[in-house]
Amino acid sequence: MSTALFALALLYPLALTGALALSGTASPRRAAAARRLLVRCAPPAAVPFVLLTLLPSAGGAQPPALALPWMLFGTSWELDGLARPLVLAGALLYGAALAATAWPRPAPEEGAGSAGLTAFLLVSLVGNMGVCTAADAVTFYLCFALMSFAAYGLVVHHRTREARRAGRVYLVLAVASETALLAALLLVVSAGGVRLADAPAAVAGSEHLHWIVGLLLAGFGVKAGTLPLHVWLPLAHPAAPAAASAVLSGAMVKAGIVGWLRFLPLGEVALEGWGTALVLLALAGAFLAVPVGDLQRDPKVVLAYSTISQMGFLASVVGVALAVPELAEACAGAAVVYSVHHGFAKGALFLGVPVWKHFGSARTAPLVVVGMAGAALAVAGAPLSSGAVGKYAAKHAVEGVTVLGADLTQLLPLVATGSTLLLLRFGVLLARADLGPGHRPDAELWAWLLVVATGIAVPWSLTRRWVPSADLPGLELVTLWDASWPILLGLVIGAAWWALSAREALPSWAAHPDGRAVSPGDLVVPEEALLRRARRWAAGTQERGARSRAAAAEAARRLRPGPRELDAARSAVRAVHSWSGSGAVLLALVALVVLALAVAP
Amino acid sequence: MSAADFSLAGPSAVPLVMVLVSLVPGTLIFFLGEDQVRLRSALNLSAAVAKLGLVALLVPAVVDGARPEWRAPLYPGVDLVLRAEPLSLLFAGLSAVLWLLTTVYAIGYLERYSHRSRFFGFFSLCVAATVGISFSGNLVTFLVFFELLTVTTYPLVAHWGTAEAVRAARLYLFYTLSGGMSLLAGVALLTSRAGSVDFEAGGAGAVRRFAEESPGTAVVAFGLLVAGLGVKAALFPLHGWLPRAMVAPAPVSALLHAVAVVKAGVFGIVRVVHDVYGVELARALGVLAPLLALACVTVVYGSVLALRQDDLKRRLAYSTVSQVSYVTLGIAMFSEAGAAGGLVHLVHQGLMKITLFFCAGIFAELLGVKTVSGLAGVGRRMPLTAAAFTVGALGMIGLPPVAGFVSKWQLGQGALDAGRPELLGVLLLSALLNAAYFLPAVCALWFGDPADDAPEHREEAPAALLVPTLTTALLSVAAGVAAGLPYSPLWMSQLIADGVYPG
Repeated sequence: MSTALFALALLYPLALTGALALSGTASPRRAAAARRLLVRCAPPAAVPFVLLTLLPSAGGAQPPALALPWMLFGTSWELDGLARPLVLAGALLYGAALAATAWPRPAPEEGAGSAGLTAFLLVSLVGNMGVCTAADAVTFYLCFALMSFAAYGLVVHHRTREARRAGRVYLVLAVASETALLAALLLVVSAGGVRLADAPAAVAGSEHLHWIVGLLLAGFGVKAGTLPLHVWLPLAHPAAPAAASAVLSGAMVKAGIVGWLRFLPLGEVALEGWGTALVLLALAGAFLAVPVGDLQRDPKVVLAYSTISQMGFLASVVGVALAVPELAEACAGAAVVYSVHHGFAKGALFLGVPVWKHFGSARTAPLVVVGMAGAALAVAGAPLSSGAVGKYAAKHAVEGVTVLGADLTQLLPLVATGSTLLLLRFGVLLARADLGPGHRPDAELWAWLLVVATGIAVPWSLTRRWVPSADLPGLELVTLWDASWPILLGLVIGAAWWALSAREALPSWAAHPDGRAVSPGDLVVPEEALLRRARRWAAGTQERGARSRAAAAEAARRLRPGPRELDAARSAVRAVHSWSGSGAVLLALVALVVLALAVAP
Repeated sequence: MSAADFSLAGPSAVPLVMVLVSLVPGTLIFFLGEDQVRLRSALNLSAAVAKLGLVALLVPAVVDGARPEWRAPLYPGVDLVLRAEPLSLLFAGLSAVLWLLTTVYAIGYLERYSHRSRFFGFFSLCVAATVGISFSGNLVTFLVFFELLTVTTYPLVAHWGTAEAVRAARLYLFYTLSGGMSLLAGVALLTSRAGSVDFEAGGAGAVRRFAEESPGTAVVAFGLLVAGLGVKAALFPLHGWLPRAMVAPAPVSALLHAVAVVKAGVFGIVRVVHDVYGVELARALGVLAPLLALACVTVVYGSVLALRQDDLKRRLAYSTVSQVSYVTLGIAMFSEAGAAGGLVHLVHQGLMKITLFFCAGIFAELLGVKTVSGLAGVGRRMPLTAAAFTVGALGMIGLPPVAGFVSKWQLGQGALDAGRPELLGVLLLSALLNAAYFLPAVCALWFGDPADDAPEHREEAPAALLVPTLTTALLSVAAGVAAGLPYSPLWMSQLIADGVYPG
């Protein structure tokens, strides 16, 4: 039964995508009708995945699995302990995103092309859930590629100049990441790690251990938004529709974390160098994203930088697991819990941007404000929120670890301070944004509130029941204070900033950030300039090459034989072409060959 | 002939029939009038279907161990030998499938043009030569059909009769005949010194004995053979004719790149390494390493040049230069998995590349689009053709689940099995370059803004052009998705590689 459900879960979105694609071959009027219907059939695609995670697993029952030995080199999926919470969170998020796409506002610019968006979301869903549940390396790569390339369609959906630029940057990084991963996975499989269950041990024993780890860190780092590979996030998020940003930030970037947890030799071998490097890069990303994000003008760019910061937090936990094998299990559990929580909360914030636009001015505004504030507090890790669960588990997992002399348990809470600052900025920008015409409460609002509510409730029960290796925070005063002070600190800094800028005591780029001090995508701007210069240089070289070729051709023309030489050559050719001439030449050749054979030993 | 002639074990007329099935209709077509379209098409299609059916019947028997063989004395001491075995069926099967589809495509493509009897006559002869090459049982037979292929493709390349076409065809003839000379010298040297060389999985006994006596001469013969075959296989630096031959009609380019000429060359290299010398001997003689180096250079060089072309067909041509050398790469890396990867790419590259050429032909013929930059927005006007192009392009990059991924993964595993992780670098560099020259085309198709004066309405290609294109695209996906099934190209390739690397 569970196998059939698994197959249905993977096939239904693909079949729907196929139907959406084929609808294009019908006449325009019928195509539009068919698409409207198909798009409404899309949100239920998340249901089988959710059902799969809710199947009873107690008493040593086999987890739901699907194996297709005839496909590629044999493909297999299994909903194991690591996959289960991630699939539940991811599927709910995709369901909400598909619902938001299926019932778009009547505004034409938002309603147009929802069929294409739905199709790419459905393929991303299959890829993303497949990445979480893949049981062997080939299946993993298949699903990862499916997800990565479908996401390109999400990023360029609006076809604007910004969207195309974001798409280009995304595609270049995605291809680089796929290539690094192909190399890494080939090495893993060759070391005996075809089954993902055997992969970490196989990697630990491989003679190419360091190559594999390096390639995995780089390849998955692109997805996970690790410094300096994060540049696609601040470009892609504002360019993509809100529903797409929600799954990008909520579910897809987590695929990078899943990849690390599946393939890195966590708990098998202590890789202090690599672990420290990852922790340092991750923390740099977690903290640097704060000032850069606070200087932005677009609320979705601010959220993208918040994602980079949060993913830095997550990556640092993975880095610790890489360096200290004894902590690996607790760190992996914490990473899963944190991923689930952040997926819900960030997804709710992204989906909330259009919700605020539509319902911010009517009587429903308080509801939206409460929802947004709840999600924001969760991201910051306020006490009793889902974020507190993630942060608590992570902090306990890395207890006693120091990096460059600093205690990690002291450093990580400061990420929450950064989050608070980023979300304050997000709130300010949202409050200033123009609101659309008011709407009566409808499905969009209720679906969004459902995501917010689930996001607050699910990580608690899910951590308790499915991730035994992660610690749950209690209700002691110490714990509550531990979760509160970073946010209070953030609020104080924010208030100080506000007070200073009100008195014009700050330079104007800091007091009234307009996104120009540091452009969205930070590093990508000089990188693009560098590329442009390289291209101009290459074009110049080509031109110079063409000129020198022309000169050579001119010289060759001058060297060409004159009429007298040509006549002589022609008569020689005529002589050889005649029967007697060619016979003589043939005879001479044969004689030479005979001579050669006679002389040869 | 009696019924016994068609037995599948020992002496049998079956391989001869396979060749005649294309040869006889090809000859008959020359005598048909230009306007006898129906009769010509019927003859063409029934022959193609018959051949496909024969191959399909033959495959299970040969996999079970049958080796039907036809022999006739050519001159004293040397026979003309045609034999069916797994490797020949892999190649013959590919050519049978693609011949049928290309014939349908060509009938649709040339509808409005003249000289169709000449075209289809030489087309069938060209396929007959390909079948002969695949079933050849010894070096001399191989040589005969290989040269027949050269001669029959010349009129196809020159078909349009323009000055450019004639120049390209003459260049083609110059390259291939020079290659033929080298091949002839190699075959003559080996046959005269070692006796008649029968192909044998793992290496011919006669050649092994000869190489023990005079290894130097054996190396020279290998060099001559590979140099001769390398011209058709477009091995660097002998690839110059291929991009120029793009002036030929689209179905010819498609067949040239996917199965006929280029593949014949690389198939010959496989024969020489696997069945004439044998991998063990080839390695002992030290000839695999230079071949491997040459293949690596060609893989990267072809991709770099492809990146610089804006003309769609030229870009595809340089991509062929690069992709076909994957086969040589797999053969020369000395590992069973690598050999299987090379062999399976022989089929997969054929399926994917023919799809791309079919699409390029449709774009050029119906929309007048011949450059990559001109593809912008075409996806909306021709969604099905654009989808087929996308499948081919993504497959070439090596993305799952298209067939190209299976080749690349298998080759990667082979490189690691052989203890050559640096080859992984070559494969991945080429994959990156492939992405760099194919993804912009795909993105332009679907997400590009069409030129302002381009019409908006849908104008999909007629069925005769569209159906073969979609079929090869589907086959490219099917060969990848169902790679684990018995009788899939991957399965056949692993079977062949297993026979070549015993133990």
